[in-house]
Amino acid sequence: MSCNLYEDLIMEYLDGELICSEKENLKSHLQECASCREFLSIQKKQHTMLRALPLFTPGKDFTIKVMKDIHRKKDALYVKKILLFLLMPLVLGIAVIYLCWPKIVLGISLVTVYAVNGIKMLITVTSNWIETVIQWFQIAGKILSQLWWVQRIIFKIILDIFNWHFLGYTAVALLFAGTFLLAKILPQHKQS
Amino acid sequence: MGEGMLLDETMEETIKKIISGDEEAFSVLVDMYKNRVFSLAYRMISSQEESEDLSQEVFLKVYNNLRLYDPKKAGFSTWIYRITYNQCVDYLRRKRNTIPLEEKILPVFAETPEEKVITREEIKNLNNAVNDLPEDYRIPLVLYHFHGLTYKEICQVMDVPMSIVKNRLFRARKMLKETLIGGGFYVM
Repeated sequence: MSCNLYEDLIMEYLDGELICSEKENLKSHLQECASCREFLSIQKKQHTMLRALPLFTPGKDFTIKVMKDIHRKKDALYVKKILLFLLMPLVLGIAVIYLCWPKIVLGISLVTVYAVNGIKMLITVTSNWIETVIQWFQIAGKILSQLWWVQRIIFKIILDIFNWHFLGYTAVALLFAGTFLLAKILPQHKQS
Repeated sequence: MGEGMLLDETMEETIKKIISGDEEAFSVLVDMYKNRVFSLAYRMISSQEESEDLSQEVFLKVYNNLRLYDPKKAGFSTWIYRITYNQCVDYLRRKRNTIPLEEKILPVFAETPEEKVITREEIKNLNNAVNDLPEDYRIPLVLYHFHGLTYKEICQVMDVPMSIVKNRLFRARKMLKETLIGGGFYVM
């Protein structure tokens, strides 16, 4: 074994990494080799020196700076979260529009058609507004006359056929009947 | 020498507190490790200002990734050294600092009882000799002697096999010895 290899063993010995048999081997070599003894001596001194060398230290306000940095990064993260929270609905909206685009186009087209027709009808109605008002008065008169008859029939039925105990049921039934009647009468007048 | 694989209770408690949002506990941890982190960064970067900035980034990374730390894989010091080492390697890759350390003012040393063993002049000479070593050899030496890491922990920090760590460490010591003998440091 050459001295070069013993030098490595010496360093491992100083680092406390040698097993017993290697230690014995090194010990016997050191007794014979002056050069390796000198190497050991220098390495021992070097070890002591290196161990004694103190660590460097950062500026006094280092910890404060680190904590400020952490706070700053936390705040930035918080702002990012808020922005994300606000942007999420926008992104979702865009996604929905993108995915349902054909349906939305169809919807918009239908609404446009209805709106145009509606405007057309409105224009027609307002151009003949006098005629229309007269028609409305006629319709209102007929409704009122029909209601008068209905009223009479209702009272007759209530007084002649049913006794007062059935008034509640009759009222509800009449409400439905009245609604139905109105629905029947109104279109007839519109058609005429 | 070196930190065990398991955390002591105080450190475990501190880590738990930090994870649960206790900033005071993190400030204590920064105080505990700032010299070690800064020293390693300074040994690698050789600039006071940049080393401080990098150390700040290291602690920010530690704060953000503390949940990912696994005590079964490595000691806490080793984990912090690994982050520091990687941060410095990344930084050096981005920007190679070519200004030698001697041209700069050395930062303040942390006061330790062992400091009395060697004089200020010896500290300066030894520092210069260490910083003259090539980076690949300097880092294992710094981690072993200045930071007290074991061979295994250095392997974990530098992510290299044990044989390389040993080889570089021994080579660094021999190179250092040659430099110091040449400078008349050792009077035998």
